[in-house]
Amino acid sequence: MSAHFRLAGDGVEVRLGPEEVFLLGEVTRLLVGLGDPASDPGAARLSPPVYLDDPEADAEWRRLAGSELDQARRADRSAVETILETLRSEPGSVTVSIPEANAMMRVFNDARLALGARWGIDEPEDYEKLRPEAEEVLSFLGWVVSELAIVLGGALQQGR
Amino acid sequence: MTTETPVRDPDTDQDRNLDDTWKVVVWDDPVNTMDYVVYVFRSLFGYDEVKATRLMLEVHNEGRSVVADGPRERAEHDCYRLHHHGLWATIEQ
Repeated sequence: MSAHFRLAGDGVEVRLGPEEVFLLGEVTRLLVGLGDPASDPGAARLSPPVYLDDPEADAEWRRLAGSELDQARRADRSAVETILETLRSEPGSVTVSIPEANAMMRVFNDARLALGARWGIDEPEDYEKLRPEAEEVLSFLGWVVSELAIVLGGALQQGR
Repeated sequence: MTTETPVRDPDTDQDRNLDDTWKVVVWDDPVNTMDYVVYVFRSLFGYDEVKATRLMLEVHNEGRSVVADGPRERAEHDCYRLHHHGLWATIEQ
């Protein structure tokens, strides 16, 4: 697979084909429609407990931090939707800021976590039980997230 | 780099014993990639690649690793930032 991301000037050049933009748009939308953590393993995976042995402290933490976290995730998704929209109207590549690249990485990783949880990935062996199409989606997202992590790691190294 | 801070409630914070040291634990999961976890430790905590990789491998091999510690408020903030990055983090004493 060719490189999708590289450091360019003060930002990151994002190069994604139309099919990739389509798939990334779909998984970003999926995060908007997550259900109740009690019934949706994908939602539960993204809001894990903080205090394992203290339900009271956990409830308090959720009260204080929960809406802030939702808001931060909405801001990430909004940044990603803008980038994907640019790539839809002007196919090829677009240069984004380092914070925007971080937002992309978090959103696509969240989507991967939510899908993995919904598809029952609890152990490494569970990947073998996936349908080929499902495995392909998780592999692609894993590739995109790792590539962004490596490129952004390079930016950290340069003190950015 | 993220700068989001959870909303604090000064009234409840006063009840907490802020002198105590709390540990931030990251748990293994089968979906987050190794490259990603190393980057998150470097980015959030300023660890160098060697330390971030050692912690990532500890999570992977031992099932969990204490990645940071400090007063409760800071531990909660670290936990918040780790959750924002999709890592499975908890706090304990």
